[in-house]
Amino acid sequence: MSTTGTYSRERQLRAHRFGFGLFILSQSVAFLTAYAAQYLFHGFFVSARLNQWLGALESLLIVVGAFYVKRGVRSIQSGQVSRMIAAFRVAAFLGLVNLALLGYQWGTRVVHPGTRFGESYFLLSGLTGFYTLVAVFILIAISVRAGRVRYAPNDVWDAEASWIFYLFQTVTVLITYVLLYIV
Amino acid sequence: MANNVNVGARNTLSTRTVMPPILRGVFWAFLGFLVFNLLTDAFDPFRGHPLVTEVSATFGWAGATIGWLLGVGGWEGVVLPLFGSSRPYVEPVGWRKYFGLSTEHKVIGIQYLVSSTITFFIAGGIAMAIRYELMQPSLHFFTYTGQYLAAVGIHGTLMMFSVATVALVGGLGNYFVPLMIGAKGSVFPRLSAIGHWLVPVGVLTITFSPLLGYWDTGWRGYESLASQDPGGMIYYYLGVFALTLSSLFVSINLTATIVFHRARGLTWARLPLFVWGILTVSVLNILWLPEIDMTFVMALLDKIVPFHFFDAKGSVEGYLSMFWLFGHPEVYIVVVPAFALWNEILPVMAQKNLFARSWAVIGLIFVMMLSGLVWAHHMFTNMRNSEMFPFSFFTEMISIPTGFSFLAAIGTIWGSRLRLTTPTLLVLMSLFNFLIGGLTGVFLADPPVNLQVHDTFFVVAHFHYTIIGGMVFTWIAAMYFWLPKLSGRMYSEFWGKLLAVIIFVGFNGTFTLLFLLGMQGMNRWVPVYPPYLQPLNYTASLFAFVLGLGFLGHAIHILWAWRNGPVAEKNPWHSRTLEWLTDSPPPPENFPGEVEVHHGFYVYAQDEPAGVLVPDTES
Repeated sequence: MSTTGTYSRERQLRAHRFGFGLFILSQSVAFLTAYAAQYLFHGFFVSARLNQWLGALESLLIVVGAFYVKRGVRSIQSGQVSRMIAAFRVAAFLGLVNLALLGYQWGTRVVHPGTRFGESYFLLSGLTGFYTLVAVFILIAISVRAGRVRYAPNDVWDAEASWIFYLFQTVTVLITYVLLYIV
Repeated sequence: MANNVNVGARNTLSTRTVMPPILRGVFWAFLGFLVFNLLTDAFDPFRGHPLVTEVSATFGWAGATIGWLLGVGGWEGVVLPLFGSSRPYVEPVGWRKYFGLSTEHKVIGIQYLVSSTITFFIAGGIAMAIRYELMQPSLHFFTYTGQYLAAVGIHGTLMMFSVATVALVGGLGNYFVPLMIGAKGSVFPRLSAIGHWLVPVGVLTITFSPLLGYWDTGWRGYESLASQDPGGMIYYYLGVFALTLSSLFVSINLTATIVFHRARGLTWARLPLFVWGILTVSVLNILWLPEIDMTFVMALLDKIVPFHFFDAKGSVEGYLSMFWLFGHPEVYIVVVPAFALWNEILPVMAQKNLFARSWAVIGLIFVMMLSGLVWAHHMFTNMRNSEMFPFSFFTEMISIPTGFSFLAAIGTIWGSRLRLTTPTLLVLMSLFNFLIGGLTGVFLADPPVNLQVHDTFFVVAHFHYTIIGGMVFTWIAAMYFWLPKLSGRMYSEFWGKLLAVIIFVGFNGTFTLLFLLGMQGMNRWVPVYPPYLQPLNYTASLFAFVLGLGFLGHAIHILWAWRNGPVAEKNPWHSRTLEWLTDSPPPPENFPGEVEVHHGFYVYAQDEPAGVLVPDTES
């Protein structure tokens, strides 16, 4: 197959970005549905029993993780594979800590799942938790992969895709935090 | 791109697997179910309850699905490459490639076509059982009403999510879109490959869902019935989840392929109608499938936590809105590719320029846009008069862009020397059928009629006229039209036309009577009805059996022609679209060179070919 024109690397890369963008768009619809349901069921009510600081810490871990993922992508673009692997693994670790804190919050049952707010709390926090789990899996997979394959400096699609997914994940975590803890 | 494959260049995959992929998939699915089920039981023991609870069955299903996908080839084809494994994976060749993970779009297309055809006959067999039951006004075939209602629900769910949504997009779309745009492959072949193997998961999950208890909500999963139903409801949600995920994957792949893999010179203004149809449907899938998936996740949580989003403590009407917000676009997801196929086949058979091509495309796009504004006409019985008006208005409005497809089709055959082949005949029948379905849809958009015939067989007849009459007839037409391309062989015109007439008579006989039954008061969802409705029901059932036999006849005929039909000419219809530039069936890389498009495909007034092959010079 020709590697020029329609099938050039640049065009392939653009096709991958576009397709991944469609995937992110589709997942945004899923989150929008969940947010709309949350508003439908209890408007902007926030439970006083929630620990805002713990929630903020969970979100902060994801935001800090996003900086590490971005740093990892920059590293691989400049050919520094080991720095990229380290950055991705730090972000994955932060994601795991986030999940552990979420597990702790769920375990304390400060919000009862049988209440109107509790349903939304467990739905939205569970949803972001699931996407965090997927993001952690991707970061670990790509960091393992990075040690095994050679990257061209201008073509680091795996790492870039991880960053796009993690960025999406970060945005949903922040929106969810605002909806569950602030307004 | 060291870490990513070139488009169309399939990975070389190892065949070191011990078991055939499907057998291994079944084994790993069994293991996955066992492990996830037992782990759930360990973490969440439910004293005094059986080993398989609703919660453990849910997680067990997830484990089984993961095991199945890995077993059919996802382990070597997706997971190991993701982790950068250097172990090569050789795709099976010959007939074996259809029974494992394949990244060739044509193999995936055929896999989807076979899966949806098998499912069509499973769901069709259930339909025959339903019609047999309704030949008598009291229960005589099913033992309990719950069985009958579960059968109706499984029939509708399988037909909608694994046949109507899948056959044209996953089947013909995967096979023909890359060929019709002059591409050598798709952008995300593994995505579609995995997507196909989700179809058996969904179909089996739904088919065997009554093992966890009969559910009586129909294909819509209606609340508040669902919240009262036993565990079978859970497998309805999970089965549909798998099927919609499959369609989502295909839509993402095909959209990216259409945008980025078009041949040189194939501008948007020259894009084939079927490709436009797949593109608009893919947009609908990308927007609406995640919406219903999230709704089903919430409904599932209602069952297994339990939450109360949609039961009597929550918002039953919220579920209805969220379902139909997806549910009505779903109808257009089903029929828009059929509209496109009408105008793909008719200009070829008429050897005449496609009439008002731009309007045909605009019609597809506006149907796509308006389809999200009509959902509440399914809920008129729950609404105030003032709320009904906008939905009634938009529902009637959507008939206008739908009419553009009719306009283009009729304008094309007007004054032409139309070749009355089997595909032509089936398309004309489809036009007639959809006209009936569309016109009765306009009636149903009007609240006075809607409130009278709501939940009667009138509605059942209406949507069968759109889905079977519009989509299934066109699907069969397209199978005959493209059979020479798919197999290199030709079918028998005699048998094709005879069977077309048989299904036309069977179909119209069945569903015209259902209109009459609906107007005489025959309710949906009842296996027991007043005796005065028996004669019409009895006759409708006889026609339904004819219809079922006709569909079976088409399947046997196509299968026979595929293997034993006379060898077809290279371009038997003298079509100008790009799939006919290559051999039949096409080679793995589709074209032995680069395709260049110089003219539109629907301009029969000129002799120059629309596209040409420029042989590869690299090798």
